[in-house]
Amino acid sequence: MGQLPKIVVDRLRAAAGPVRPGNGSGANQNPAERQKHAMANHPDADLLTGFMEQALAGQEREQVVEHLAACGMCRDVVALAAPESVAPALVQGPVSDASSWLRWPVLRWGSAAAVVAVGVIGIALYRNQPSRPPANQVASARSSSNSVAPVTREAVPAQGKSGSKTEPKKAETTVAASDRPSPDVREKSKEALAAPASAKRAPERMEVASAARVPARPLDKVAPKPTSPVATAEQAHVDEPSSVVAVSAGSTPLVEVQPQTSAGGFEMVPQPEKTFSLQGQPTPWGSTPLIGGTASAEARRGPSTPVTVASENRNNKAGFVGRLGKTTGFANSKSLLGTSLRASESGASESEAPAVLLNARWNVSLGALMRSVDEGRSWQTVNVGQGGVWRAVNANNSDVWVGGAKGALYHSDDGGVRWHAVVPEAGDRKLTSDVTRIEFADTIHGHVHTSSGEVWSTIDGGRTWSVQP
Amino acid sequence: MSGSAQSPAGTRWLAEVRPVLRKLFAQSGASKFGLSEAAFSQALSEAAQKYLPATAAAKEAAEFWRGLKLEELALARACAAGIEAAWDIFLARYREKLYDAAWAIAREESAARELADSLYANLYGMNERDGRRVSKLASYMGRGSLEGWLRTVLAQEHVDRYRSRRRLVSLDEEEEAGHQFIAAERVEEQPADPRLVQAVDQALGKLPAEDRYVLASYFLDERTLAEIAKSLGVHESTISRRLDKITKSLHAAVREGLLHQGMSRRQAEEALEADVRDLQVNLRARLSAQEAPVKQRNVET
Repeated sequence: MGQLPKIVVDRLRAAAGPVRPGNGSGANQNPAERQKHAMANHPDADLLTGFMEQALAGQEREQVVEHLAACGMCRDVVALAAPESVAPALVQGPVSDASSWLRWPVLRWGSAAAVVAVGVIGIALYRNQPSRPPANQVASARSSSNSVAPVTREAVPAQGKSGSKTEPKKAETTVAASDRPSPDVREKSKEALAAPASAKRAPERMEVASAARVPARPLDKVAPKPTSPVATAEQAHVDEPSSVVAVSAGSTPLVEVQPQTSAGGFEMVPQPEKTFSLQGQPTPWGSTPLIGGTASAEARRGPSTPVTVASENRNNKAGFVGRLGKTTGFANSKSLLGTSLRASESGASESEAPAVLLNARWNVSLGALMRSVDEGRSWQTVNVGQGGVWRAVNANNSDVWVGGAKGALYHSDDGGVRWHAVVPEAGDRKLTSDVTRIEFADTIHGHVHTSSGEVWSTIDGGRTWSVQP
Repeated sequence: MSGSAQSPAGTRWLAEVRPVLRKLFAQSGASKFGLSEAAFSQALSEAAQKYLPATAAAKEAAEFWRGLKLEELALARACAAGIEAAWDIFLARYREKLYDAAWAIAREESAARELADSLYANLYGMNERDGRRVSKLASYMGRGSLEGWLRTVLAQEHVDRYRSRRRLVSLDEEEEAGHQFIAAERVEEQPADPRLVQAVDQALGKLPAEDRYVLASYFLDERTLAEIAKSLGVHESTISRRLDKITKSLHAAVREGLLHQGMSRRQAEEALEADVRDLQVNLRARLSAQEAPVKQRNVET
């Protein structure tokens, strides 16, 4: 967040000034006078309530806002009285306590190392004569392609709450009015209020390194655990990259260990200690928790993006959507896919969503996709595909879906580092309308609502879709 | 009632809006609260007179009324009229919310209870004027929800109480608490460059009111993004982006203003980046951090 020079803050404060009832007229040229005039008549409770509930419009609303810009007392009232859940519903990503399937398990994580190998091959081919990939990688990939051995996916250690997965949280922000903060929390908040103003808020905007710049991070190994049977029993089609890739029902599927957080894509930290400053006076009943401790900017990502096929009806339509939104030529993605599939079954170490992105919060704001990795203290715009106007987002930890105008639908399984375009199809129908809402109870079962009233549903994480009506 | 024929409460105007009033009365369900059509129409007329210009046409009034919370308005007016059935409904709906809101505001059990009880007394009409019970609910006009209105009234009451309490702090109490009263240091604050002040004032003046509200909330009141977003009905990420945009544009506008006043670009940048008073403040903060905390109060000499 940008800081303001002290002179600007001082002049902002000076423009507010004390209340002088009935002074001046609204036609004053001097902005300070205009503001003082606006402060002369405090809006009544009806108008303030109407303002907070977005029930005012036009000049009336403008007058109230003009007053609030100048009157700290009324701003205090608004801060105290603002309704709890006026803000648009945020994306919630309930931690699934059902199956912990990984979608596209074999292909996705197993292909990451293969992409690295292919990159090496490509460079070698470009520079010299065609060279063969390192023998060990090829051997491991080849051996994996011939088996349905369980593939181990390495995951980030659980963060936050350990043990059981939690219930889905409601989308509303903030804590209910009946919550009672503990005294020690209030004391800490008071200390926070006493701290110098400059220290009260850490930089609001955390510089999250783009995925293209962050180094790879070795994955942590976890043992696969039993999951619910896969609905389909498809084999990985190594040589037919255009077809659906799925894990054989007979294999132990890749396991995605969900971080044990209380919520998937969203959890508002309860803030019982609201900042309440009366013209700079300290608040006796507590204050906002100290805002700071931004997440580590050392977000790292794994090797290159694996190619994934989200829908069996895509039929070569979706290629690999790179970090910058460029879709590689399908020929390239085809070869990548082939190699990726082999490597994905090798059980080799693969990259994974950086830990900081696993608990990221997501929101669509003014058509832009926003992500916060510091519990909402700062937000960053996330570029997806070719860009566009986004209208809906849903996240289950690192599994994120975003939809927008004209059927734009993208999926990321690594917290937004990489995105894959998804084109739901059912028979001769295809999703082309604006996506207005996305609901995924977990990484497998979801619905996509459109502006034309369609509801596209998937029960396999986007591989196949059905549509109603 | 006064008013021109075409204005709220005027005879002709009333005749035009009567059918609308009848319809709105039916929609509001006021009869279940025991409120008569006449009393309901009176409430709507008062609201129109309060918020609409004198020259508002009947059509404008009808549109205004349709935007009100009619059912809640009817309930509030029925309670203000002392109808017991309405009070039963009001208490069933809002008693818990009233105390919850009071707690959310006061953050302390006894203060919250006192606040809620005080408001409840005002709502019930413990005060009398000209022999008639006066209920604060009579001032509710339905612009927002009744629950929101109750929260706002509680907040206003709380702010007023807090401010008046701060003014009445006793010196004796402070002395007993061991506070020492010493003269505050007279700090010679270097005045800011008048060109900078002018450029900043102009830049701030050009900002839309909502931008200034966001700036004031964030930099003066030190509200969180979530709190500001809540008051504007947007997501906090929107506020984050907005603040970023405002501060950047403000920097640019002030810089432009300084250039307009004859400063070179470098001078303008330096003026913005290094306010001498900031340096002084930082130095004072560092020095004072080494001293034992002592409560100071200005002693007028």
